[in-house]
Amino acid sequence: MEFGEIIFYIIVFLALYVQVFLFITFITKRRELFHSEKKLPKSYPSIGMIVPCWNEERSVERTILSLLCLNYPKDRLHIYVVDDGSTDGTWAAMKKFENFSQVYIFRKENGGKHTALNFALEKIETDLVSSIDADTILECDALLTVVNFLEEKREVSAVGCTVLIGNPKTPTEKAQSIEYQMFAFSKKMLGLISGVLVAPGAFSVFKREALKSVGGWVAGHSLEDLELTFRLQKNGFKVNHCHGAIAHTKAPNSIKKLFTQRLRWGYGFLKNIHDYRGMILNKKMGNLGLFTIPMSIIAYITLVFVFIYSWQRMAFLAYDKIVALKLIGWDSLIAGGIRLDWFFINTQAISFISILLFFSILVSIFLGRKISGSKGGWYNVIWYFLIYSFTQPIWIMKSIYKYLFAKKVLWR
Amino acid sequence: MIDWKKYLIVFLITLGIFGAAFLLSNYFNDRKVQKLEDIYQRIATNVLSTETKFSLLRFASCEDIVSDTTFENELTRELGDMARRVKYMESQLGVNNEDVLLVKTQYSLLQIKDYLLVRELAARCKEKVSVILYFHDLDCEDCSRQSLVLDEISELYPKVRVYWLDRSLETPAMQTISRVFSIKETPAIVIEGKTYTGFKTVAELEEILLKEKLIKKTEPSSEVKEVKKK
Repeated sequence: MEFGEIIFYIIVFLALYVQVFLFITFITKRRELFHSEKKLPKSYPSIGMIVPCWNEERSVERTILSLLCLNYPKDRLHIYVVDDGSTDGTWAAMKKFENFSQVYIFRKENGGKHTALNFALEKIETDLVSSIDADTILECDALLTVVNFLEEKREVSAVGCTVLIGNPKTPTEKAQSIEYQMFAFSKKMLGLISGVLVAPGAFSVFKREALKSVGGWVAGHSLEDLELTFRLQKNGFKVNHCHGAIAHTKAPNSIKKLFTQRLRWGYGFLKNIHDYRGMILNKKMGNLGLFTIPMSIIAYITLVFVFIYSWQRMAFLAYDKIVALKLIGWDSLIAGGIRLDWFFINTQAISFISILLFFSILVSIFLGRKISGSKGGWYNVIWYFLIYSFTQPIWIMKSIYKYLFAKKVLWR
Repeated sequence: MIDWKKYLIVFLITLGIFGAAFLLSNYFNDRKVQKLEDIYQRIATNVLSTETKFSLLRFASCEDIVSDTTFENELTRELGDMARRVKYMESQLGVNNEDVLLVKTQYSLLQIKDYLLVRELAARCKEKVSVILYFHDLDCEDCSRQSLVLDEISELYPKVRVYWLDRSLETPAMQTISRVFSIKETPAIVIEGKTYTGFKTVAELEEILLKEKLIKKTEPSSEVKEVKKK
C-alpha cells in the first residue's frame, strides 16, 4: 500500500470507529431514551428566557407567542426580548407585547448576539436562564420537560434541546430537516456519555449561577453557543442534552443562504477548537476531549476526503464514457451494458466499508427520527443526499481555507 | 469516569468490521482470479486445436482440414474478454499482483504461439488470415482509446482475430516479437506484417483491413446481423 492509501484507510477506520461508538452507546443506554411518561416537576424554578433579535420582524412575534403558550406557572416565567439595533420593523413587532406582564422588551445599540444576551442576563434574577433564537418556536411542554430533566440530574448546569426544522418547504429546508433529525441522534448519544459538543443557541437552558460564574456570553467567532458550551465544561460544569424538549427553528431556505450559514459554523467551529485546543485528547475533559472533539474533527476531514475521492472517480468514469461515445458512438453504451458482469463490480475492501458507512448514516437518521418523534417526510432523505453531497464538502473546504488564512466571516 | 473498556471494545469491533471487509474482498478477488484462469483454460483449448490442425498437415492436405469457424470466432471473443478483465483486475489489485501477472504472462505467450501457428498454417495453405497484433502498454496515453476501437473491430468483424499484447510484460517472447515488428512505441498495430504506430480510429482500421482484403466491402452492420442469426 502506498502512503496516500494508508492515510485514507486510517481516516475511514476512524470514521467507522465513531459510528460504532455511537451505536454501542445507543444499544447500552437505550433504556434511558424511551421512558416518555409525562409528569410534573416537584418544584418550579423561575426562568428568564432571552430572545435576542436582530432584524427579525417577520418571526419574532411568533416566537414570543410560542413562549407565552408554554405550560409553566406564569409568575415563574419571564421573557426578555432584546432588540440588538435592528434596522427593520423588529422593534415595532416587539412593542405589541408592551402590555404583557411576562414580557420585558429592551432596545440597545447593535453589538452582536452575545451583547444582546448579556444585556438581558444583567437584568435577570431567576434561577434558570434560557436563550432562544428569534426564529424558533418551542413545543408547549418543552420547558416542563427541561425542568423535569434538571430535577433528575441535579449535577447538570446546562441543557441543550432537540432542534428540528419547522415546516420545511423548499428542497434545501427539507434536506436540513433530515440533517437535524440525524443531529438529534448524535447529540443525544453525546449527552448520554457527558460529551455534549454544543448547547444550541436556538434553545438551551442554563443555571444562572453557572452562567454568571463563567461570565456570560462572549463573541466566540460568531458561534457564541459553541464557545459557551466549551467554556462551561472547561470550568467543570456539566452540560447535557434533553431530547424530549423540542424546538422548531427556521432554516436557510436556499442553498446560498445555507452555504453562508455553514461557512460561519465551520469557521467558528475551527476557530473555537483552536482556542480550546488544550481540551483535545485531554483526559480531564472526559468524553468531550477524548471523543466528541476528535470525532468532530474526523468528520470534517472525512467529508473532504470522501468528496475528493468520489468526485475524482465520477470524473474518470464520465471521461471514459465520453471518450467511448466519441470513438464508437452509441454502440459503446450498449457494449457497456453487456459488461454488467459481477466481475466488474468493485469488490475492494474500501467499497464494502463505504456501503457500511452509508447505511450507518441511514440508521442514524432513523434513530434520530425515533428519538425526536419526527414523523413523515422520509423521502426528504433524497434531498439530503442530493444537496449535501454536493455542497457540504465545499463549505468545509472553504471554512478550512478561511480558518488557515484567518479571514473574517460576517454572518449578518 | 472515562469508560476505557468501551473505547477498547469499540476499537475491537471496528477492527473486526475492517477485517471482515478485507476477508470478503479477498474472497471475491480470488473468485475473479479463478474466472481469469477459467478463460485461460478455454483459450488454451482453442490454441491446442490450432496446434493439432497444424500437426495434422503432415498427413493431410489443406483441403482436407475442417475448420470450425464458430469455435475459432469464440477465441477472438475470449481474447478480447480476457484483455478487458486483466485490465480491470490491474486497476483493482495493482499492476504487480502476482496472480494476475501470472495469468497475463501465460495467456500472452499462448497468443504469440497461436499467432505463429495461424500464420504458418495460412502460408502453407496459401490463405489469407485476418489477424491483428495489437501492442499496448500500461502507461500509454492513447492505449485505452485504442483498446476501445479494437473492441469495436472485433465486435463488428468476428472473423478478424485481435491478439492483445501487453509490452510491459518483459518475457523474452514479448521482447522478440516486439523486435521482429520493430515496435518502439505504443499503441502499435500489425496487420499483414506491416506496423502502424499511433492511434487509429475504427474507420482508419477498416480502411487498412479493406486494402489488405481481410474484410469484404460489405456494410459492417450486415455482418453483425449474420453473426446474430447464428
